[in-house]
Amino acid sequence: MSKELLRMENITKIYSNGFMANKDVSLTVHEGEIHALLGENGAGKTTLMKILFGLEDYQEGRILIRGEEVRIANPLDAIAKGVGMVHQHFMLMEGLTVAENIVLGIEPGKAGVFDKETAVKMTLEAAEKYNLPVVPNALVRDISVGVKQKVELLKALIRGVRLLVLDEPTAVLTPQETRELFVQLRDLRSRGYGIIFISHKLDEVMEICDNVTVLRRGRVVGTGRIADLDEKKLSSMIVGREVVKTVDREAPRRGDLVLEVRNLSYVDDIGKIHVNDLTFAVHAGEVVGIAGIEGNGQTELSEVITGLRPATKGDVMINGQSIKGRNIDQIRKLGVAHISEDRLVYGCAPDLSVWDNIASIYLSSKKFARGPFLSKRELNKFVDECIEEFEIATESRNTPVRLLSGGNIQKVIVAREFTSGANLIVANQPTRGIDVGTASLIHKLLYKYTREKNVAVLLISSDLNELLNHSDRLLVMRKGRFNAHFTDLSRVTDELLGEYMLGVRSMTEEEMGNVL
Amino acid sequence: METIQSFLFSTFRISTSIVFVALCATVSHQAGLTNMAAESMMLTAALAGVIGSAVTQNLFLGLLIGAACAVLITLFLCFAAFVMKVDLYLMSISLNMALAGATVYVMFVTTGQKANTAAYFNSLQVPAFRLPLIEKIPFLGPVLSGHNGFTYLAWLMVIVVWFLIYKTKFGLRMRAVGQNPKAAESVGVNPRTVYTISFMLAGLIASLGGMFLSMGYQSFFIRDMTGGKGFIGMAAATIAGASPLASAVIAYIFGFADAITNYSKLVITDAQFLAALPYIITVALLLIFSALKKKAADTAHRKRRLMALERGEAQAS
Amino acid sequence: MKKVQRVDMLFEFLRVFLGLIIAYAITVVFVMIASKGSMADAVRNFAIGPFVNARRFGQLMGKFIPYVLMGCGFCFIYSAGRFSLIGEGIVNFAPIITCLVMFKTNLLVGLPLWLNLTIMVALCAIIGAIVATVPAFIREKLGQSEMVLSIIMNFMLLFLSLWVLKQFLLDRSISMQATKMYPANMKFYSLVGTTNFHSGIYVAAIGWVIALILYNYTKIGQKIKTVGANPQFALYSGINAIAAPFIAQMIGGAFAGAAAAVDAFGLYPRYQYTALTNIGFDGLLVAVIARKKPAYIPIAAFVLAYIRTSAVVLNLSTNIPVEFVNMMQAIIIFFVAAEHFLSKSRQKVIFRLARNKEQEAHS
Repeated sequence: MSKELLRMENITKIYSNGFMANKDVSLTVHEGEIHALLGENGAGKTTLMKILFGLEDYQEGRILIRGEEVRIANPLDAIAKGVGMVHQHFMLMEGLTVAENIVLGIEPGKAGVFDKETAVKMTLEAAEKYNLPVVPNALVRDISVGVKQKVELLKALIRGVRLLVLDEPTAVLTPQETRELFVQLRDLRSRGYGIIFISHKLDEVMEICDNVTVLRRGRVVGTGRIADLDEKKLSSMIVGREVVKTVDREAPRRGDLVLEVRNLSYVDDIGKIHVNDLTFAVHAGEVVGIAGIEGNGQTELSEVITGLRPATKGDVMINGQSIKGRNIDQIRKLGVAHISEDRLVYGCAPDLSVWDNIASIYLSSKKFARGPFLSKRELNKFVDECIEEFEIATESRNTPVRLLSGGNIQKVIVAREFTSGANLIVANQPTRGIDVGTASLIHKLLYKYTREKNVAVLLISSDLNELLNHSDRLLVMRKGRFNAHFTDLSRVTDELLGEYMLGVRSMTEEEMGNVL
Repeated sequence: METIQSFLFSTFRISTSIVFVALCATVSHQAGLTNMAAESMMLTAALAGVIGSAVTQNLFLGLLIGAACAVLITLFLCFAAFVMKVDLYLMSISLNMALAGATVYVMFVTTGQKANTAAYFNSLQVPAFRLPLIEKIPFLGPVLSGHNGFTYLAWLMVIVVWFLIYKTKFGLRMRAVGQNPKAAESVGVNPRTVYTISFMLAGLIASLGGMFLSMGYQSFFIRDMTGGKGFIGMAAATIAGASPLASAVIAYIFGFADAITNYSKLVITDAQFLAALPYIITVALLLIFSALKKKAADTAHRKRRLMALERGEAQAS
Repeated sequence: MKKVQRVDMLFEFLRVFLGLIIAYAITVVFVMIASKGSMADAVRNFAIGPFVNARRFGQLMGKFIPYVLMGCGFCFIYSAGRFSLIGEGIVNFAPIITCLVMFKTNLLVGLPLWLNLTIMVALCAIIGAIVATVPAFIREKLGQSEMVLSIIMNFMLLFLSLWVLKQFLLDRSISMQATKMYPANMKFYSLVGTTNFHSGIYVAAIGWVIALILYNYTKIGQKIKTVGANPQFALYSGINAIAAPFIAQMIGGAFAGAAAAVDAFGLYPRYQYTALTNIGFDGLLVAVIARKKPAYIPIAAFVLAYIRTSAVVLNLSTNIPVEFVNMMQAIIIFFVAAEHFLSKSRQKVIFRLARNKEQEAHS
């Protein structure tokens, strides 16, 4: 056996709000090993890596590098100890050249003058040594994503790092670039480097990794040699066997068409395609779930429907009316409510009171208004009713939202959106990171509103349990497109769903049937 | 002919302090921050330089004292903004106000005067220089030669700032922090340190703009003698998008407007309107350049979107 | 939970209060350094000077009146998260345009005083609101700094005002640069003898009530607060994130116009501004001390008016220049706006509270 590079032993991390992100997690990486770290979003991978880079503290456990126990104070310290990271979102300066990016912090030169030629030479030498060709004088903003990744790798290698952490390195790459990366990673492995490879793409993990550790809910649920495993086994380890059908659901009485999406595409400012020619519909009285690994366009889809982002192509119809040319307020008035995935950025204003946070959607409507004035008395009554009905634990309606717990903040948001009178609720990760009580309250509400009030719900989630238990139909989204559609959820297993999400399988258009 | 020559000459002269401030703003801008406190740094240096040179009777020491005082103000600003977490703009604005008052106060405490130091301090002035060879060039000679030392220093400073930003280690770090502070921090470049040093450099440059007024253009300190020049330089840097050469060029355009104003006195007798003119031109240029910038960005985004879409369709088919 | 909220508020108050005290103390030291005569006299003059007689108190009130209006205006701009300082220039510009109407047309001649004053204040407010649209435009529509433009515009407005004054309105019978005396039915009258305490106080009172209502009871006030607190959340809620701050800046401009009217037509017998007045910056400081809440504006305005008047009194008795208070203002801002000031003690108290609560829950 080759020499041990990193050993993390029984790491336990509890956040100040009581959330246990890692429990007794152990991870060992040797020289010349590519070690896969797998798990769903929220499984604790990010926290574990943040601990490794000194960005988070931990309560129990220890970290050993080459057998020596260490305390890592910050990312720079980590680099000094030989641990480097390539972030999913590159840490590069777009306006600087490749060479400048690579040598930043360890610039060559005398008397404060930056020696550009030496920097270029250093870059070229490293590029040749590690077989990672780059053009030193090109501006980073002009190079492709694949080359940017090489720059990130060189940045770490030139600093003498021996263990590399790659966070979803292939998520942004084309297939050709991915193949190229794998050649380079194998090369590094043969030189004795250790690599931690975080990914959702099981085929890639099978192809390149030697060993694997799987996390679920902060715990290690499996570890072993890749050679002894297959994609199906991995997929079931990642997703787990925790899906329990808890709710008896009546079949939905599908009513009128509420949301109709036709050939919708969304491309962002820098030219990345997030939503690619989607067509589907949601009817009154049903919950349509959208499953998918995060970052496959679900959030962008929900934000186009609710007006936060403009559609690049295609159209969205709500209750028969197109959202084209309508602003967010007008889209809301067509009957849309939106629970955003980003609770503290879009969902609420933390410094404002519960009252302010509920009143925010009525500031352009006639409800609660007397001409230009707000009817404070009516709103006070309404907010108090919301606090009572949704069991929001707050001293008063004037308490700033930032003083509430996460669950109660979500209750404020849910109270506002559910009472808005909308007949389409777009709920993006409505229960992520929230206590069980609040989550079950939200699930009950979703059920009640579809069955009793004929509301249509689009439920986007990365929690398969939630999707399988609380939707009536299910679409799986991958790379901005649908790759599966289930109308009878009783036959869907979590493993099957996982395989579609991870791209192990995919349905043809005929198999998907009518998505409208 | 001679009128044109002396007109161009005075353009260079008048622009001097605007160029310094534009460079000061450029340095801060490259580090990713807007430096609104240039006025306060200029005023401080203008007074401190006068007092310093009068007391020591040494021009160089006077300049040094002026610059040091401006840098001290900058240090306080950095402490307030980066350690005590006061809103940077709020603190900058109130520093401008405070130093406008403090200079009058200090002038009063030291001289008993409230308007200017002319009668009290026998302060020194940076002399004018004649450029031996250039002087001989027909037409351009009289335009380029015979300027105050500060004016030449401003030209030099354009090159120095350019060198600092693009050729030194610190310049590289500054640009890195300005573009992506988090990424810079991840490789051990501390943004707070970079902000502070770049602000001190900015303060140093602004102090030259201030001392030009009291030790070059005039030979004494007058209260509020900067008269908003700090903000005009600021506007020049904003329009130029933080390139030192472009900042200087636009600063000269503003100075040109100023010079026109001066020369129009012969034609237009309306002094008040003339006084407003440079500001009207600045406001108009700011609006026009901002609109053009915005339009260019919008077009670029739209193009990129459409291209990506076409690419996507091509891949799908 | 309620306790935490109370601790929060207590520390907010302490920060402002201690900030004022410390700044005051530092200023007294400056007074002592600069006073040539008796130090004790100087300090006494500074501390109680504004209250020793009706004239001086009138002086204080004369400053207080525009501060209230300007401060209210800044509450809206600042609450929307914007930093337009255009109020400074409006103080010079709005009254000179009103003077054009006053002296060059017959519109106001023969009208009763109250109606004239109403028209003049309204006119100034409208001019203020219009002028304020320029920096608002560059920020909301073009995405550039409203702050830089507004400051340059202040100088532009100053010189344009002087130009209008000299070109159309100059009274050539006197040596100073000023208009003719305001007609008797076109200016605010003194409430107490011949002091500066003038009837503009009613405008300030009405303005304050309007600000309170606008800020706390209207849809637009609520929109402005929401945009300022979290622009993304405001957008998501369906609030027009361009219009709300734009309107906030126009409201700020209108209040600045009203402040200009009470100052120009209340304190002086003729239009005689030849420099920027600093009322705009003072208004910003008032809003900072009041923590952007119109309800606290009168207190904050009074505090600042007191400090400013003290300086004037001191200037008259000892010749120490008035401008030194500007230093004090920076010190006040430094402490009042420093998020870090007292933040450690605050955290400690809240932490202790949380622990006590936990222990109670255990026992």
